[in-house]
Amino acid sequence: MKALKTEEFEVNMGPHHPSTHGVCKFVLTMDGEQIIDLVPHIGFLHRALEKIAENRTYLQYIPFTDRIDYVSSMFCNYGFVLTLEKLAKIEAPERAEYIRVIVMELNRIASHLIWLGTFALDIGALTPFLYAFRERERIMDLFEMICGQRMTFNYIRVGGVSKDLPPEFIPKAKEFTRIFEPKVDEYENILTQNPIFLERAKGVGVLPRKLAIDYSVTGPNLRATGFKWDLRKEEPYSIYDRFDFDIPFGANSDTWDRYMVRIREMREANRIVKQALEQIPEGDFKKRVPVLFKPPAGEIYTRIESTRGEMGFYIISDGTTKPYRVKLRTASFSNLAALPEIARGCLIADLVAIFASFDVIMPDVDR
Amino acid sequence: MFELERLFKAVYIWLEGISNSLGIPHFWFDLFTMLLIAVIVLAVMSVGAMFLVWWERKISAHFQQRFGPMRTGWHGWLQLPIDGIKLITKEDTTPALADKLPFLIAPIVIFVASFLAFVCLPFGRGLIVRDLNIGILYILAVTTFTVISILMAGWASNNKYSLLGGFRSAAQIISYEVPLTLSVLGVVILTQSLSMVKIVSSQQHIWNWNIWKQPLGFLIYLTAAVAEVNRTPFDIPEAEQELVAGYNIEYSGMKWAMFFFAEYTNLILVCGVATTLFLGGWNGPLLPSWIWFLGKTLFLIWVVMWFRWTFPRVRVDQLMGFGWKFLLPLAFLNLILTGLFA
Amino acid sequence: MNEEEIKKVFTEKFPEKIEEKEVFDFSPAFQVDKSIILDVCKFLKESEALCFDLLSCMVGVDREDSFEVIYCLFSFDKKHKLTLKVPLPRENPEIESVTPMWKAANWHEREIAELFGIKFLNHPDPRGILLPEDWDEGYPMRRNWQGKDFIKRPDK
Repeated sequence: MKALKTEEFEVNMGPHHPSTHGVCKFVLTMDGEQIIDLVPHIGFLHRALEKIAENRTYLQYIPFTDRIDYVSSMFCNYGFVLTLEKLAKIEAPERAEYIRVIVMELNRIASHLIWLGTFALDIGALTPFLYAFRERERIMDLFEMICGQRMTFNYIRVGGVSKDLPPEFIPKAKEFTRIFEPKVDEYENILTQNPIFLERAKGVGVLPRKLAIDYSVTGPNLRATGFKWDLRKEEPYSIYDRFDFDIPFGANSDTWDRYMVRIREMREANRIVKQALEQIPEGDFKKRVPVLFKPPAGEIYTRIESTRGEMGFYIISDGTTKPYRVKLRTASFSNLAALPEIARGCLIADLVAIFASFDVIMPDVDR
Repeated sequence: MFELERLFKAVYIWLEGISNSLGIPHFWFDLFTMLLIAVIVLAVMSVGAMFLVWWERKISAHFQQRFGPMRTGWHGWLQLPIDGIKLITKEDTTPALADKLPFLIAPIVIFVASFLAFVCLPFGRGLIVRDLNIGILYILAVTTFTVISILMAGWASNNKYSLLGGFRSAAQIISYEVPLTLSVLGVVILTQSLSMVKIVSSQQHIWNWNIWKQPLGFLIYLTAAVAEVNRTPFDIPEAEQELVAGYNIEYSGMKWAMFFFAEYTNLILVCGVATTLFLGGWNGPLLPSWIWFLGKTLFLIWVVMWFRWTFPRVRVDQLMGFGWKFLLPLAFLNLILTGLFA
Repeated sequence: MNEEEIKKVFTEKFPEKIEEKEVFDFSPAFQVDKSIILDVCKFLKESEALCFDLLSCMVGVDREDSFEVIYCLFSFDKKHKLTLKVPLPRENPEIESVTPMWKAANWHEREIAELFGIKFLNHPDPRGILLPEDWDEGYPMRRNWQGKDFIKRPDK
């Protein structure tokens, strides 16, 4: 029987659409409910962060890095600072490194929680959103305790961190790590084996590994294809080589795998925080760095494993206080580029699920 | 208790007495009481719908470990009147390219459709507007108007999202109408009557309730009914995350409120019908019959709300597949079994 | 493979038109003439020994007197890195697109083309990407760009 064909029509999904996670526009060519073609339009949140960098001193630019990916600001702070420290050959004190790892991994959990909530919301389950935000609130309280901010932290500085941990932080954080594990079980109870959820996620939006690498898809999305790759293990930066943690990876690279990888990553991040809280030494939290910080002239490209994947900073320094060029390589930018490939032929409801499972943050794409 | 049971009857007799003493012809008195009943049903429906909105907000909040509305009145019970005032005073916009007449009529049609069905719903012993001998058939027929209204709204809004929502809804309601009707037929076979009152009076005691004789039928009815009223997990016509709001995307103010009123009154209706058909209707010990009816209906509504705040949403093709490939054969099986053993 | 070996393989294959450069943390780095960029990329991607399957990043740079496009390559298999730098003339900067090699280059090239005004030849989708559709104020990432409300801070 010949398949029934209807007239194709175009739909603008976004920029103001509840499930585009910020401001992104898809121009969909649809045949009924089926997507024939999808063209992403980005740039609605383009804030010219790279141009601003050329006009600020290195240290003035750290608050701007917060805004690259506001959901996991600690990673953006750290990525930029790490690049500068490598360029200027500065080593942060050990306590500072521990603090950095603790806040980064807490931030990873917080970011994955936002992802979990919105992902569940996008496939129509409204309750996990509130559950996820309940725990995120605790992490935000912890962050507020250390730097007075709940979102754009500006906490990690060249040579260390801006403030030492307050005395009540460690017991509070320990309490969080203790209660968090059962909470993850709770999220899993409501979603993981739910038949409707399985129907919606299993086998939907399969991104083959070869295609993923071709598109430079990194992070949990790459690990969901069954590829065990994590810069924290492969090229340990900071003090990640001191901790015992696993790299979760999937098998079928479908939406369900991407979900599962992130759920397990939260557990692993929690393990890292636990260990770091046990091992953290006393000592300095910051090395003195001149206010007019001048790294030597040269070029450097450094990557870290952020929540969404590989986050890179290409910095060209000409020896002055201002960078000559800063290029931000963000994970979401590359991840989003692969979306049209796998969304073709899906239904509009699948597109929403796939897009949510990719964990794309629009300011991270547009920079 | 006896007084409460007879409360409504007593009021009627009292009114009749007044009318007789004034010498008003019986025809006018009938007309007056009909209008009065219509107004009462309308009021009950509106208040019920408003109550349900508040109730849903509270239930969802407690499912999600928060409080919900708390600021206005005791546990926020004034929230809904206030929201109602807001909706009435809100600007009512019509898109420039909309098809004006259907755009205007659609909310009225959906409201009237759910309103009409209440004619045959027995709220309590003797508390029914008209006990038609084809009662359940009438309810099934009248509620089908809903789909016409949704299609009208989807088409007239001149918006691709609302059009998609309208089509989804049409497809969904038509496919779930069939198992719904079939599951009702099981009860009809047992009772051998289409009259709602007869169906209720055949289930005098708790062990006579149709739910024990028709457990499968009850589950099919409940599933199909949830799909009928477009609630999660079958809320694809208004799937917020996919179609933004579906067929009612272009509506605002009171027109939009009409859609919501209709949605919640439909919810009361399907749960009321389920109570009547399967849970013994107003039958129950001690308490007045209409309290039993309300209690059972509210319990079913609570169950449906529980679904909504627990399940993700199914996809449109999965929904159709579930309806035609699973629910429909099951409903036929149920019907055959009923026919064999009844 | 370590850096020395990569250098050796690479310089043996392309003895001319390349020059060694320095990039911290992502070495070795080579400056490659733009005429051979496609061959170089094809070799890097497909050679058994090198097998650079990940285009981690593409950077456009305005060097005042010229432009530069930088490719940061990484191999998941061999776990080694390489940076390619391609200088382009100030007037009429053009370079072949490497999208056939790495699909990731598509969006990066669109971004560089839009912000720097570097033309990528044979690009499959040469539209703008980040700037508004009605943008007509030139190429904002160029060092000498003057926008309507762009004020450069004085150097200290």
